[in-house]
Amino acid sequence: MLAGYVLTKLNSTEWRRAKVFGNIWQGGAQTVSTSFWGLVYDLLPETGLFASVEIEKIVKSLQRQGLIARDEHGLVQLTAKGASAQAEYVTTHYVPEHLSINQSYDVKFFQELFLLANQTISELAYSNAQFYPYQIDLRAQWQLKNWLKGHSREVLIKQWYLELQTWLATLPNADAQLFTQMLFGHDVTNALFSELPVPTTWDEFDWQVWQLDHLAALMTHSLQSDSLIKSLMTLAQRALLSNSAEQSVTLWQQLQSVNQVAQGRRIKPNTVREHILQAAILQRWSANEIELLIPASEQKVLADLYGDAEITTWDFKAYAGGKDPRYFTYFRLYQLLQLATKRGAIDVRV
Amino acid sequence: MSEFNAQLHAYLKQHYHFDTFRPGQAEVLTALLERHEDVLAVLPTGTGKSLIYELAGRYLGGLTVIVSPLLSLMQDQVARLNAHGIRRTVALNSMQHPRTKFFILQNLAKFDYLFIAPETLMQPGVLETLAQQPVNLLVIDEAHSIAQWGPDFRPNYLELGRAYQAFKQPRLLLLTATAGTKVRADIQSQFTLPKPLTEFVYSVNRPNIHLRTEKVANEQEKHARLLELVQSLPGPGIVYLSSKKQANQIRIDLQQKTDRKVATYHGDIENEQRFAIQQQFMQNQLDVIVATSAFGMGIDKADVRWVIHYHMASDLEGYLQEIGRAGRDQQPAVAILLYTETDDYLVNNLLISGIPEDVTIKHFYRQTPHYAFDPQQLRLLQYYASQGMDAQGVTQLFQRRLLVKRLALQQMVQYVEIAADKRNYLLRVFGETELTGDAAGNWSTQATPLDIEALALPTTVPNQTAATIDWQTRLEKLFNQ
Repeated sequence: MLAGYVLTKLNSTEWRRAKVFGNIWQGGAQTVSTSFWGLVYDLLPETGLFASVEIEKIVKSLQRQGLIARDEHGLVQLTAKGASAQAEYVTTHYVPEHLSINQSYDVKFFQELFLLANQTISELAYSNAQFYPYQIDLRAQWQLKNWLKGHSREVLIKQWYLELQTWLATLPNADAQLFTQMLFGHDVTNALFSELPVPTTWDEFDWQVWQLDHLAALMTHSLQSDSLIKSLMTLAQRALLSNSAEQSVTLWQQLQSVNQVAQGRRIKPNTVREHILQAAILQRWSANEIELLIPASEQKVLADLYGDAEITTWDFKAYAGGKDPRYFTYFRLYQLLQLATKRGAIDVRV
Repeated sequence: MSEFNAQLHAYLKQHYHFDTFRPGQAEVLTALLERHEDVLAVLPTGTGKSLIYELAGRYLGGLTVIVSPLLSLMQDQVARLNAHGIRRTVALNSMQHPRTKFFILQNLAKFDYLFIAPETLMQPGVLETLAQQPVNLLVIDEAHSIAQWGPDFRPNYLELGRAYQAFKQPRLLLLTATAGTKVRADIQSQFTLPKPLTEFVYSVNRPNIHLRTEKVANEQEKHARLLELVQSLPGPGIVYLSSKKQANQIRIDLQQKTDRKVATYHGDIENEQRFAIQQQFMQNQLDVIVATSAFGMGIDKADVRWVIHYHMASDLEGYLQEIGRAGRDQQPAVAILLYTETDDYLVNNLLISGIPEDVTIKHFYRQTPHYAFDPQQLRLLQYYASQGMDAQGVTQLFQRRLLVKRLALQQMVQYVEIAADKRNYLLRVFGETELTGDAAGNWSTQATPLDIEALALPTTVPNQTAATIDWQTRLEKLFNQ
């Protein structure tokens, strides 16, 4: 139940942009604003996971039930009733823990590749070429076909089996049991949701999240060594930035000024600034790196103006409304700096 | 046996491991491939229509384009061909990412079979790109859709004649399970052909399926009767409904109150769960599927023993398609339609909701700003406007369509109501010769209790799923360790 899950992304003290949830869950190209708020709300690890979400419908329904309040700008926060519903949700439903890898590898796409790879290798183990294949996106199918061709039959069967077995042995038995229920292959079908040994309070959405979360865990584990699964993961690697943003950032990192990059690439200076901001957000630049991007004089103005206030409450107009767009970049970077300093955790580059 | 026939049989043996064709298959293939004729084949459900174009495609070489109406079915059709060893197969439809569509169009030469929806086929650029390939066979699957859906639901069906010309008149094969004289004439009229289509019309009659209708007093009684039937009928079966929500509720109820293993199958099911349902049903690990009629079911299972309609179809064509999933192994099967007096209102409302009202048509032609058009209806109106039709013409067209649809619904209701000669009623509707003696029997109504034993339905032994085995054993089994 995605509506219940939305509650876990809200609190009762801070107004949040519900649209950002929809944009991030649906995946696709993100604006700098979406990426920024996605970072603030800790939603970036869930990029593209629930493509069919209809956030407006969900928000209206939660509002009708009195679980959230909505202000005149469309921002939402939990009501007292919503806070209780949230508390109940986290105890009765599955809440993911391992999704951070989804920022650098597309877990949802990997799930499709992994399931078809598993089925094909299983059929291969029985030397059966005529089977009803799991249907995935055609380009992914072709990529997978090439990947399979790059390994010998023996390696595929033995190593795939061993890697899964080794990883599953590290899990609690009940989780290992559940994980193998989602696998199918030669004469083995995957389980229907209704026959899984899961809590009775779970619905199919919980199972969907559980699967993605555990695949993410497998991916994180597989990255630690030169594994077959790790090589399959390369097919699901994300390009964090668009080609254009990548070019701008590379030139700028070669010590060209924003204006020089803009002139050289025949784009607006503000677009270059947006590319740099997007890189800072998605590549998780450290506080030290971000600090270098803001002139010391501006840092002082910003520090005097906002002090220790929560960044979600900052009003840009108070700092530089109507001024040159580069001030907005400083404003955003300063917000990022505060966030990076506060969380510390994002001080780690992916 | 002629040399050609011997070659056909050799193909059949080599690729499908069968010794003989099913009725109609060899005749159609001979007309298509030996006599070089274009064919309209009306073959009852379960006669293996897909084998005809698979085999014809192999024989002719080049690209075989199969126009298929149900997007949800396409991937299953591709998978089925894959399972027959035909790997160079692809589906192209609006559900795909534009990047994937582009990729397919760029790589057309690498495919032998292409499944495509009429809407995608007629998109600018798609038809032109396809026309650059050597298309040797154009197949229109579920060809009755041209007449049934074309005018008021999917107008691109009315443009398939243009595709046929763009492909430089390849061999044309139109396949359907149900098409009366009028529908066949409508289909013919869409194509400008060097010579008329050769028609092969096999009876819609499926003698091995016992036809039964049961009129019940109200919804509660219908629900109770469904539970009773699902509990007592042997073998795998399918329950058809018109609403996803109700399908989910009924599944839970059937699961709790009978000892059958039940799953729902509709458009909201996640890909991996859909796969689980298909595979478990095929392997007899799942007894009952509760499905919505709107969602195509890509499951070709020979031993489905019964089909129950909890909501009736909107016409007899659709109904016969759905009950045709039963008894494909030619063994006894049963099709039961449960009905309350108010059911036709429900279907009627569904019919009306698909057709633009007069006021909507007016607003469209007046270009009323901010008018909230239903997207499906808007597409339809845009199509007719692009054909140069004015508001009055479109209004009259839809009124005529509504009449036709209501007539079709009346025939459906009549099928339920009729208490004598039910099987022959179906044949009359499709313009077929009536049967006599025992052949006209094998039907019943609520007037007589259903004698399940007398139906002699073969039993299927359910297989246990591997759900209970430990993960290590399951893994070993998966990889033959």
